Amino acid sequence: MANLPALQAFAVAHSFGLTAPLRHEEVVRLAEYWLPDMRFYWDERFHPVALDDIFTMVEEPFAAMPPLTQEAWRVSKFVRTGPAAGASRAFDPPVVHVPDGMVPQGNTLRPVVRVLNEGTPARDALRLPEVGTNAVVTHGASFRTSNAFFGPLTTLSGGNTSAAGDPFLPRADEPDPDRPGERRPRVTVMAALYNLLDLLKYELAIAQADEGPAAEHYPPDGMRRGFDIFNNLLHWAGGGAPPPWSAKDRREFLQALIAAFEDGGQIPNPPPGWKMDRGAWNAVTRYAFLEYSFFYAYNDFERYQTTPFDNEHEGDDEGCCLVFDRNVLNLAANSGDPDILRRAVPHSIITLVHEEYQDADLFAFVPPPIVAPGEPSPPARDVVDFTVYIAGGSHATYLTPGTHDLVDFQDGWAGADEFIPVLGALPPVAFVIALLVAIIDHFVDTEDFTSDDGIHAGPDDVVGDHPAKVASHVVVLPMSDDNHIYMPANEALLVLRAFAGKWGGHDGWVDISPPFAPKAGRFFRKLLDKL
Amino acid sequence: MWRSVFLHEFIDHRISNFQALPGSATPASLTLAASDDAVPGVNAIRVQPGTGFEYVLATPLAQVIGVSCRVRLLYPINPVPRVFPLIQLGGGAQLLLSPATHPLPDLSGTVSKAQVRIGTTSKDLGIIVLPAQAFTDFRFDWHTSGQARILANGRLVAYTNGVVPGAAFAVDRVVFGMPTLPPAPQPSFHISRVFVRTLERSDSLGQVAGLLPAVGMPPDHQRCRPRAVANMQAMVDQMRQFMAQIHAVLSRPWSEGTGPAIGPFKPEAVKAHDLAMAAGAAFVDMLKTRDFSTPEQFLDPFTEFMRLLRDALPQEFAAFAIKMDIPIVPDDCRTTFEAVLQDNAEAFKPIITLLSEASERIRQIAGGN
Repeated sequence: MANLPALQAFAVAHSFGLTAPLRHEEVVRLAEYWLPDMRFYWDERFHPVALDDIFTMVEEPFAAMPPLTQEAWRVSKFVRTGPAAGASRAFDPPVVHVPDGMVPQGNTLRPVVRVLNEGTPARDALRLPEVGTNAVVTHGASFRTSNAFFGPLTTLSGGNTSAAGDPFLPRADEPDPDRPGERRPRVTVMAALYNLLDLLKYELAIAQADEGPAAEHYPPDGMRRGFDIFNNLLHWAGGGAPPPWSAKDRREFLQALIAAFEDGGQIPNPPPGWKMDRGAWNAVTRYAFLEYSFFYAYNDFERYQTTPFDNEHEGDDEGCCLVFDRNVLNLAANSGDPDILRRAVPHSIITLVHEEYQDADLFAFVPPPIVAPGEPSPPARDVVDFTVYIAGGSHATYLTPGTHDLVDFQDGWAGADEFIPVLGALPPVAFVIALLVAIIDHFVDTEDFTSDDGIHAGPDDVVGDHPAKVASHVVVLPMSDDNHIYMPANEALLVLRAFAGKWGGHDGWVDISPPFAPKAGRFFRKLLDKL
Repeated sequence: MWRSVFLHEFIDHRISNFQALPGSATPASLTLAASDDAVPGVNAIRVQPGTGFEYVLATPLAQVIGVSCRVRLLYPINPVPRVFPLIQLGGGAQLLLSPATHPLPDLSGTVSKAQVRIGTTSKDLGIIVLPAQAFTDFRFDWHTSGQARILANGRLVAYTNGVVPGAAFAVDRVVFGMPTLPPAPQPSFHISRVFVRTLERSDSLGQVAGLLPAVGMPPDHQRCRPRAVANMQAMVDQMRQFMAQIHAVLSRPWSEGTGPAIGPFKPEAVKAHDLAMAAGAAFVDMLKTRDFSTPEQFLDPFTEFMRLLRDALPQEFAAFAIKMDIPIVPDDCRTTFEAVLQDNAEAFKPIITLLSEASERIRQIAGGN
């Protein structure tokens, strides 16, 4: 359940702060400085928006529609009308709903939902105690509805058909400071800085709370429980199956490890047969992640692909990460020179490409700049290229333009053939299946498309005067001890980012709306893979 | 589903920064250095006899029936009188080049023979041009239905059929360059990207099966499931062999430099391919969405595809259609699976209705309708 006071109290009790020694103000400067140079595909219809936009970009235009027009954009949901009865009803978008059991319909049972924001703003519904991991925010769960509220109105040249060099403009806009009374398109991304050691420490405190009586469990929090890295830090090397080691004992071992590190004491030994990965532990203590999240109202990858590779879903979070050596940040922070932070060169860049299990995320080391003896280090952004190319529809984030083979190293279908004999009981049907299997052999590949001919977004001094440049903003999530998201002053932001449900209504076999899950664990596993 | 095996894009200067199935690069491979001295801004490795990259899989891939390799290549003008491998997948598949004699007059590239080797069988693919001034993305595909082809920057430049149809082999490593040849200065060229995908014999069946309704299966004391799956695999193998016969009729060996402008495929082949893809995509889409309300989206292209196959090989098609009544499930297992089917009739009904109609159309077409 959404329990913001509990999240806030927990943060106070555990001295929340994940960015030391950087203060929030410094993190903001760092995040704005490193805002990626973003190149969108020329046919992209959904550019990154703030979480707040998911509500305002629907509510405001919907409210301005004539009543008859509104009917076409109401969201239909099957809701309970009695103990064993349900009916479809239309609600004003966006809708926040939670499951409400099943009701009989014909020979089957049909799931029912309860809409939490009838007649009240959707954002307020996120605060309700019923809102947990199974809650859903949706404005219609279709390309049609997302395109109506978040899709483009025009191309760069004012046309209605995009082309390379004449891309669709982002729908989100803002007052144009250079032309009073007019508005200009914008892109908004989110950023956050995490010291991995501090993050692990806080996550372990949450794990400890979750071990207690149910009443003490840490409530759902969309930002948390994404850094479970025990299996990256410790491996069973004793041969055979490992003996039981409870989650509680594992957690206590990691907490003892952190305490020993912080106190400069002796690192504890794991139980016999368990081996600690010193490289992984070194990475935890050494690195900080500056994460950039690109949140899209809709993934319309199916506009670019044909089945079986396509998918679509409302809500889509992607992004990238700069890995910093904490020593470099510490040095900069302690120097007293605000410009020195700009000379901190990242260790590496990681970008998100489709799903983690496909092992397709990209990683690139950043070569340290060569500085002549006695010369000052140049501003890091002058020597490090942080340009990302975002694929049309899928929003997979690449480091080079052009087409990219969709890679997938998983063995996703192993063992799936056990259901084949069921249809094998009918020989002619099995024969056609075999024929189709031989056809599907030839569905070899698919690609992501990126380009340099679409919208450009990023820092003004990096993007320059490109004709397809749009205004860019970064919302930096406060994660510092001096200013953090769990403080009462930041509650409006906490309501949105702590939402642990799904940011869309797709719930199909392949087309699935995601929660906005924390990505530090995913970035960490990729980093370990490459160190 | 084709599985990614190896991808190296030389994204930075570290040779160890690549993506692959679990395994390890040989120590010699990790001594290579990527640099952008061939084309500024494009990281690549330079290979010559004695150098190259070898990646050994922790678990070899078994029964590989399809390979798709991409190699981004820049080949400075240097014809050499020898055949050398560009890429190898274990001992199962190799793409060989022999840029023997001919730089192009404008020095933009070197003319080379291309040869595919599957197992111990080699076959000429034709003549291709190795680019000297810009990296070109060469793609080499082979499938157990006998088709092999090379595309350069997405354009078909060489094709042949009848390359060891029915073959399957193990892949234990990916090798590009010439690490196993004695050191020599030539040929010397640059590789800026390598991507390898493979298809194993059971992959496509697994993909289709994975889209079927998940149902509870009874205990399998008689090993009914593996026996039935093995029979199904054998049936799929026969389909692939039949497709190889079709390819032999509807296409011919061809390369861009020497073949006719019309290309290697008869118009019926192009049409058959498009219809097969449309039918396959529609079927998978229906399984994914559970929406069977527009069966003609599958049945129409499927029926046309079957007619084209029948017209290409009438007698063989008739013989092929007769196999429709061969049981897949062993007799002693039939009641088990029929019971599962009955218990889950609701879930399977639309699939069975659709495929039964498809099978009926095959019968009619085989019967001359």
